[in-house]
Amino acid sequence: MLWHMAWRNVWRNRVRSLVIATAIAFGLVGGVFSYAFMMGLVNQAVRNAVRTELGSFQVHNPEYPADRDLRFMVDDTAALLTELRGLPGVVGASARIVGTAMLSSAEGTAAVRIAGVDAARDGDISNLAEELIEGQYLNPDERIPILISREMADDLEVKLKSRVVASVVSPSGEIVYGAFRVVGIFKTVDSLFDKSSVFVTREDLAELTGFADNTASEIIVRVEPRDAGDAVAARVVAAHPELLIRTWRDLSPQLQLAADFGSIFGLVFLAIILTALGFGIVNTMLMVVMERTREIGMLMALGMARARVFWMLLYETAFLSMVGGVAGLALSFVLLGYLGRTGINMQAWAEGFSAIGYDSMIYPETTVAFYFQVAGMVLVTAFLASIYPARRALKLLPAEAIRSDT
Amino acid sequence: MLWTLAWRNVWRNRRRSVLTLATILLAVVLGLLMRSMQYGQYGAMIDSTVARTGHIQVHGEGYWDNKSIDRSISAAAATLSEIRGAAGVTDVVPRFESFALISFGDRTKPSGVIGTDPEVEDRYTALANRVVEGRYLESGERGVMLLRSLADYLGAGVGDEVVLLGGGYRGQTAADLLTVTAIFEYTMMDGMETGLAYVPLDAARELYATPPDQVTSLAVMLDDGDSIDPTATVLAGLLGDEYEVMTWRETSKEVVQQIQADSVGGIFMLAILYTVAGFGLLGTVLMSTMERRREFGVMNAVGLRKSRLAAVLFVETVLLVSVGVLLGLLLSVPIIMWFHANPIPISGELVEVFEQFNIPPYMPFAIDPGIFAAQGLVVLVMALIVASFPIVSIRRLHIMRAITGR
Repeated sequence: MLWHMAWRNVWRNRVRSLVIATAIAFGLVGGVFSYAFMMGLVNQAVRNAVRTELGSFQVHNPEYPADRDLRFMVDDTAALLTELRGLPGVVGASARIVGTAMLSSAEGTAAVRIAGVDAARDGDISNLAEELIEGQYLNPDERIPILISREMADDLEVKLKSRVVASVVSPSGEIVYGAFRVVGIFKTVDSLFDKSSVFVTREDLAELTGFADNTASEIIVRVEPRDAGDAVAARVVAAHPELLIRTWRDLSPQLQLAADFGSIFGLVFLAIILTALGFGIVNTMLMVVMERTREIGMLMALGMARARVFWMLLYETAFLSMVGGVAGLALSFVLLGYLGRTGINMQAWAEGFSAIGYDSMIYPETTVAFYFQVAGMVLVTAFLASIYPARRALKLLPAEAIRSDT
Repeated sequence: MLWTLAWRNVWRNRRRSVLTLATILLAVVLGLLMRSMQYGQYGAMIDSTVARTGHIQVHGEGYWDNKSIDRSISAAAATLSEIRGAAGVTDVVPRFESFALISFGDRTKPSGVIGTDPEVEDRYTALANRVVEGRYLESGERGVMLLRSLADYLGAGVGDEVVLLGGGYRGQTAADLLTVTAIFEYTMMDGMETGLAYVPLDAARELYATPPDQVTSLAVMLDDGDSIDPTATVLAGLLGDEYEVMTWRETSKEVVQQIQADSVGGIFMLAILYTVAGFGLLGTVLMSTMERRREFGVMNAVGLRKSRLAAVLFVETVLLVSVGVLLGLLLSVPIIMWFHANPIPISGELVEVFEQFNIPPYMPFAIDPGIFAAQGLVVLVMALIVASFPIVSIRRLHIMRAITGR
């Protein structure tokens, strides 16, 4: 009955209700969109980094990371790999030899991180093969193959089939030189990764540097679903205290920070919008109360309890807000559903995004839970915004209110 | 008369006006703080970029696409003074940049090598402040400054002699023995694959076996960041075809794009915020128009022309918003001035984000008058649009119906 009255009251002044409901709807679409955009941007960056470069977690000799010195390796990798691959959730584990090198062509020199990978198993942990824009992935049957990035190829002025020379510091500290032939050129969304990474086969790099069999510089492990990675990593830490285990969060603090702050940032913006909307709602409801001074006085005179008047106004505010809220969320849902499929093209700033490892094609992302969260925030706002106007209504004296001329 | 009437009308319903003011105030203050922070950050990003690259860079034709020292140029005293003589140029920083393998004992690491004039370099990049051990380079000496992680890896300390080995000018071999004078820290370089070493300009030329006066780049500093393009054109004409003249916007495209993308994001958010505030204002204006129909009818009946009536209403809204904007400015300006003078220091994890963009970990606020003008103007335009709505309802006003309230 009270609900019913409140709902009808909302529509007594259609224009006013529609103005405030439109404001709420518009504000929510903007807020939800911003949030989804941030989430999409950040999640994509995390997914790309985990999928192409970092894996869910990496295993090293504790001495290794400071200098990427080939002397510090993980021993008995065969047994370790079998153990890792047997863990629940692990979809791939691959051992690499990774050192620093100077890569030169006739036209230039670049300092790089050279990775010798197991061509048959590295695809389990990295989708680098999908990032190739020219040529083929590493094939051990080919002679001395190397994969370099588009950027590197341009810097060194080399093409497919060109020869490049890598000078690598071997485990014993000498500099050894090896020639490689470019078989594939890749391009990822992270230009720092592109600028610094080249890939060869494990066999070639081991032969060049005299790296021992059944050892590796690093093991990269991929866990699905992504969130389960930390738990698996924790198990490995417990089983192998002698090894250094680092998750993608440890490996890329910037990315973790972006992941943490992205969602907070989106929520803060929503809160700001809701505050602005809150003022609008207070104003509208205040008008409602003033306009209906006489009517409210009458209701009270007829014996309606003050608490019921209070609740009636509160319901009215809630209904008003929910009309805007539901419309806003529905619109957001449709809009984000569409943009989630087509993506938002920020190609004009591709290099800027790429410099910090982000894709310039952004697919906004939200979760169903988020819509409920926003709906909750709208209701809280409506509740807070209704208190002041409702209290004013309660202060009315029926005898005077009835006689007022509005 | 018109203004007095409008001003009084604004304060007839004090509560409503105050709430509307609060909405506008919130939008203006948030908008100003946000833009000021964004511009402050952009300023810091640009400053740190320009300190490294100069406002304008001069290199040999084709050097930027293929950074080979074979494309280095001769920067004889005559060329330098010619550049220094151009209008607006305050200084020129000559650099010679390349790579080398740096060895000490049995350890070797690939490293970037920057040959620079120590005194001039320090003026712009404050390199001397990064020294943590030993003493800063002096021009003309045969010394080298090593990045902390590089020195640690090599096990080299101040006073040790390290070997630099690489590709020299026009196919010669670059090899030299230099004494470590200092060890410096550069957080942005942490975790990079390669080391970094600074040597005096002449030592670099000797190492790479170039003719005297050879440089890979000249960073040109201007007294005014706004006259970059005309000065670049002048320099290009002055120097001729063998040189390429690029502005920092071309050499640091990713910074420009990051700023643009972020700025667009900021503008988008403000647009939402202002629209929400605008709807709030619209609600108020519509309400006050509806509520005062009778009053308008009477005024019309006693001879106030509809156009004058509409003007009063229009002025009311504009006055209300102007007060809001003014209060917003009054409130924000001291806050912004305070934070401009005392930038908020950033601590904890966020420091890494700042390092990612290579800017000092402070939250600077810009006090560009353009920001204030733009925000004030945008809100006023919004007010003008909203203020035009009641004009329509005044035109439709029917005197008899309005007075009798039917």
